[in-house]
Amino acid sequence: MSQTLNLNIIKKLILKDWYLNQKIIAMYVAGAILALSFISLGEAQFYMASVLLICVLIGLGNHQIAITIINERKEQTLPFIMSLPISPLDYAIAKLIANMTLFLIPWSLIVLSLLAILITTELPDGLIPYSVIFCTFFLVNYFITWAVGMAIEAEGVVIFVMVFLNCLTSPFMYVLGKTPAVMDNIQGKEALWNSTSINILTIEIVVALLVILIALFLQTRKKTFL
Amino acid sequence: MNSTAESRLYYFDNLRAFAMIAGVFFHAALAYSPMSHGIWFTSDAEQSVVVDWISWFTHLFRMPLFFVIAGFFVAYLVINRGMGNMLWNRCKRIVFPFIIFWPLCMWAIVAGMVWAATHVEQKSPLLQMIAYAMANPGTPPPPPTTMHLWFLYNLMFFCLFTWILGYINFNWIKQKISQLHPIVLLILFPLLLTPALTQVAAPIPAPESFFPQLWSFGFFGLFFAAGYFIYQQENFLDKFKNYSLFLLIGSIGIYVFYFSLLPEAFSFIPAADSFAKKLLLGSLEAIIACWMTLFCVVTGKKCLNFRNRFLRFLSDSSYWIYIVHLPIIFAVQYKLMDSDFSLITKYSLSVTITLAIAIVSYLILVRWTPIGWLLNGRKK
Repeated sequence: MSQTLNLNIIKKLILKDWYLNQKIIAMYVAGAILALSFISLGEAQFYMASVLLICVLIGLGNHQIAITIINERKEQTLPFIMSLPISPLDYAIAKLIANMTLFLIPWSLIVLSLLAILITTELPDGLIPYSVIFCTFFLVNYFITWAVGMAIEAEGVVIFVMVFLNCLTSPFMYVLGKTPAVMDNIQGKEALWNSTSINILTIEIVVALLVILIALFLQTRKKTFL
Repeated sequence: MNSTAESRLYYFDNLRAFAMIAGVFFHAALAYSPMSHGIWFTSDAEQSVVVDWISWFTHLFRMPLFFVIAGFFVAYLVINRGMGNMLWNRCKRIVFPFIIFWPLCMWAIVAGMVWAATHVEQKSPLLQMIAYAMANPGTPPPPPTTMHLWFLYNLMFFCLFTWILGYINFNWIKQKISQLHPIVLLILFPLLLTPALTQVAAPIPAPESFFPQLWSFGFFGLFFAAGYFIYQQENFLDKFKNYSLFLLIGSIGIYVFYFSLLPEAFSFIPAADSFAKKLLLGSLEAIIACWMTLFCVVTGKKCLNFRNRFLRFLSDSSYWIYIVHLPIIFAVQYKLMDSDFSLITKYSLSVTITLAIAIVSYLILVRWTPIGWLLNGRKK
């Protein structure tokens, strides 16, 4: 299979998605700044602000998928895009770059801020592996939702996946909390990256990449948008 | 006020230069302040309460004035070039300089501090602590701060807020504010500032942490918003023309009372004041900050609204001077700490040498180079 990507249109589609998402990004940035403004004030504030940051991550991910993928179909933007000289793969790549930048940049900033807080404050550095694994869990959830959205493009299914993955948050926390190799050093002064922590993180990253590849593969098999 | 993009408002340019260069005078003065003796690197054996009287007064409105001006120019950019261009422009002028100069300033200040801890004979209390920490390895270093570049760091957030709040229609608030009587505004604005100031010890500290500070948003952020508003309201400042003298005399009168409430010496862990005292100090600071900032802007419009080559040069160089001044001041004052000069001589020398080095380095390294393009844009 050899396809030439229409880079010009891909660029325009990316810019369109960025433009359409400006407002919600602004809203979530405000939430993240608010959380960061009191996260360093103490242990209780750290946990409250962490919850707010998690809400920002979940909200940002789900909201932009709803705008860029679901609404595109509902509001008849997709028929317009179908009239452009692009293939389903062009479309998928445009969506991939637009969505990933919209999510990965804020996600990276939030993770880096969390790490900076853990390293520079009295809070135990032992929380670092737990925090990174936990934040990566939301990254994986986002990638799965995106992949399902791209592959199926059905509002009901995507909403179901969003709800289902969010329901997994508590079980994931529970399982992580019952994993001695991750939890034993959580109050420690130094971050301890043992083989269990590294394995969990690796599995998360592999799953994330795998679902993206599957979604792109399914797109390459599509001859038309319908 | 927003009718012609070309009409450069010289008094805001000139005021910005004065506000930034006033920072050099303020930071140089702290070495001779009895109040900050325990918390400043270059605290000298010679001190004078006069230094405290003057420097803490200017401290209350120097940075608020700067943020009003910053808000004014951000409004200019948004209205004339659009939100996206404003963000990109501020990225070039604020974010990149911060990323480039923060590590350099940090290195220069730490290097000077380490040198002073081992070479200065008459060490300040803070230098003594550092010398002790150096002699006893294992003491955890304090978390890094944004230092004197905190204003750049805070400005980044204010520009982000400009974008975020740009989606909300504030026209009805603007209309209401513009209809208010000046006296009402002179009471209302300090009231809005007071809650933020009750969260921190007096005098207003620098929000230099890398973690965003809510109180800073509620204090400096409101001055920034005021500047943004002033740009959009033509003739708004003229309302206060007849109140200039009242603003100045009133502020000085309130400052006398405020100063009497300040502790004799500041410490890194401020005394736990009662809420009533915090409220009183916060409201007095808010009134002085608001009234004196307004006085400066109104007086600046009256007296500094002209083009002058010297002021233009000062305005162009002020950003660079502000960025580099603190490591230079420290270096000069470390050398002066063991000298027998009088306080006046030491102070004059530290200010003069700092300004001389900063201006010469501006001429050689900045004005016609990519650093100058970064800080002030390309010269036409």
